[in-house]
Amino acid sequence: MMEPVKINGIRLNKNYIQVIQKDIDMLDQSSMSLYQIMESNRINMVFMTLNTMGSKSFVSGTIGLKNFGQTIHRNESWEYDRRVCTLSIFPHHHSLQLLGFLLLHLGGLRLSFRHMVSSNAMLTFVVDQENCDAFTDMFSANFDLPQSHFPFEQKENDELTQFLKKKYPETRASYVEKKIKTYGITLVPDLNLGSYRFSFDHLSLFGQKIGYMEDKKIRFYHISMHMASPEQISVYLLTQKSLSVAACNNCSADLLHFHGPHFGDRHSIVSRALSCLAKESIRVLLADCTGASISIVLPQGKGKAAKLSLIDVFDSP
Amino acid sequence: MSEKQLILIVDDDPDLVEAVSMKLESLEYKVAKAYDGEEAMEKIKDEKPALIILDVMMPRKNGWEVCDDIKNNDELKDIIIILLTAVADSVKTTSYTHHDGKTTLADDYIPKPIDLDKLMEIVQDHCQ
Repeated sequence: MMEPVKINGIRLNKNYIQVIQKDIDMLDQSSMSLYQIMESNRINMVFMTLNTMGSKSFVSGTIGLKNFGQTIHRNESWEYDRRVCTLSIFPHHHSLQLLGFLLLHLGGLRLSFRHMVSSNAMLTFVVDQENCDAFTDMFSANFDLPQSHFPFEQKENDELTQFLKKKYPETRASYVEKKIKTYGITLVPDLNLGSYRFSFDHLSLFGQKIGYMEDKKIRFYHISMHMASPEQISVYLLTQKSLSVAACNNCSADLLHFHGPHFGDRHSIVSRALSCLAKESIRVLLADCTGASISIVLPQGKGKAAKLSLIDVFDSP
Repeated sequence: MSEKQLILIVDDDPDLVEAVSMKLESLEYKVAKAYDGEEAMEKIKDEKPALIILDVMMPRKNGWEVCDDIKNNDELKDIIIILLTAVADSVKTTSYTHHDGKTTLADDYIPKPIDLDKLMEIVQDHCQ
């Protein structure tokens, strides 16, 4: 029997709508993308993933139910999915063993999700709200959580928010900065980007393969997964070198990672980052935002120029 | 340092907690972590850290309340508290500075986004 893997917590955000825009071209200035429209409406997305790797590019974000009416009337061509929640576990310590262990159990229980991406510490899932309890039960049953842990959920409570705002100067972070402060922008060049696509039935096997490789020192730098169809999973995994697990494709890529205070509660941040790169005609392969973190995967050799362009808008200590 | 001192990091941003934790561990401190104010209070009572790095805006119980609870408790009041605040202007002074008009009982504060090296300097100053 496998030992439960130790983690420090689960984070939960309920009552969101998933909005998907397909066939996007972020370098095309003639049309606005989902994140640009959210910026112009000052709407925050607690989760966003952009993918231009597959045959069909897309951007997918989760927006609060209360903002749904503001977007649907203007954008009838977008796809809106029913209520979703985001669930994060942390920390992952970049461990392929933990990642494999998690995927093995998800596949074994046939727990389907829409997206899963990593930040520096978290693995975040977007799941149908009706599956939320099944996910938290699975995490609680299979992971070793601290006794004092409480799966926290930051609820929207306007009355309480107003009361706290009066009582305390800083309770919800809705401020806008001309130059956005970050904890630093990290560039990791020359990584291997492995692309995998397989049936959901093979998720357990994939988890077993990556989680139980002989070389225990291999770490992952970033992962982005989504359901390409109801039965097909696409996985993009960044590692130092290619893994022994056969991929559909391997290529070299650069990773930019940064995070800042209250990024998860503020609008426009990812849009401003991607606009910087678009201005310099830098193609983005993947961009994933969860919690207070943004990870951007770029073609090999583009990381340095991308980091320089971000410094125009983002303050890096 | 003869004995490793325990530092508790409290923030609802797990990415930041990991970054600060790694830095503290590299300086030979023992580290405990909490992700909201309630969880922090339990860890503080159980583990009695020497110093707490405490975020202000958190679920369940915010940092101002945690700070008040600790500093008004005779058993806990000697624990050093460094507040992390994204709006540093809201903390005019701390009890550490002994200025009039203090707005928090915390011993020190550092504005977000934190400079990790600066934070380590503050921690080392207080833990000497």
